[in-house]
Amino acid sequence: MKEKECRPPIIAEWILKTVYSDSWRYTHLGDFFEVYLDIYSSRGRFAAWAWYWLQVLKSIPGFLSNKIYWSVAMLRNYMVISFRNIIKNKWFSLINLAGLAVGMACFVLILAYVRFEMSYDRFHEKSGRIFRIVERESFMRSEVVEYSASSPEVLAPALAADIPEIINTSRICKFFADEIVLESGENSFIESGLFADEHFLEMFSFPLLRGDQKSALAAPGSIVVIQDIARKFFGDADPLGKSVVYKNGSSAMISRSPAF
Amino acid sequence: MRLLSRSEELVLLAVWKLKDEAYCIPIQAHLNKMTGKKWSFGSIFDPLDRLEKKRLLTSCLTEPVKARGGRSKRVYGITREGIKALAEMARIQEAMWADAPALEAELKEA
Repeated sequence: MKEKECRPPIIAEWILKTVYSDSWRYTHLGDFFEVYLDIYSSRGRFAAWAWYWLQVLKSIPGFLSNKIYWSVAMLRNYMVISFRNIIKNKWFSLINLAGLAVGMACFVLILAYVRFEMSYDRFHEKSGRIFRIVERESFMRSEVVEYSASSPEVLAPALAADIPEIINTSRICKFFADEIVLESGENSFIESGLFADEHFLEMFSFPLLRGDQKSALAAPGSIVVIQDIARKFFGDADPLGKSVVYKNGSSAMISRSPAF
Repeated sequence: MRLLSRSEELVLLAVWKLKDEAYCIPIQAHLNKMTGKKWSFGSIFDPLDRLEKKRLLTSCLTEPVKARGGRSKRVYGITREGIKALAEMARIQEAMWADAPALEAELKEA
């Protein structure tokens, strides 16, 4: 009989070790080993193996129930202790809990805000490849630096010509006011909108209900409107090709409405 | 003093009888032989632990033994209190059984 063969199964021994991790009971492993060898030499390898595994299986339920019993007992104890402490130090606990509640509320609100800020423009298919040009301004050579999203209108074609990595550019303009007045016949409404060049719809994913995406903003003076605005001006009639008048102070220009 | 349980009593007796050789396996073998039942390790470990807590037994570790995978034996020895407890159990035993009817004879008649 070789020395190596008569070791009990390693996994089984490991389980027993875990069960009897208590150093006091660690010698029990030796007892199991001795009986294992005894059966091995008298009744053969399989019998010894089976006996050893049987011992392991028998030891598991007690081990588990013991573990569970004591962890539940400890948990109960923690609950009781914390409850008593809260009762004993009412004001202190109240301030603590209120602080925790406010903190958690802040956390949730900040999380919601940041998630929104990080995601509101992700719906554009090419959002990963669209960049905004930001202007860095420092006045009178001072240390004060300001950043601004506005830049000269010639910058876009100039950059596109100089930097081959730029595939497409689009310029938008707020025209100093969020609100503009649109007129059509007797109807006149204050709406908000942007001026954009013809590449705008190629870069940003705003699917059109009607009209052709490529030609929608191609001609100067074209406008793309949302469904609500089209309804307000033209009711249920087809808005394609209809025109509205844009007013900004004295300037006015006629826009066609090829899509919305 | 609280009375010993039956298994504690039997284990304690076995330890006392085995003297220097009193570790788990001889104890188990002895109990198996005397009672004609199979004693599992668990049914011996627990009484041993309890008896030791009650200071009726002491234990010590031997040198590591190769036949045990290089692990020590825990050899038990009975204390003075242990012998006292055994004597107490023997006295109770005798007192209880002294005027008991002859059970075997009764069984044979029936």
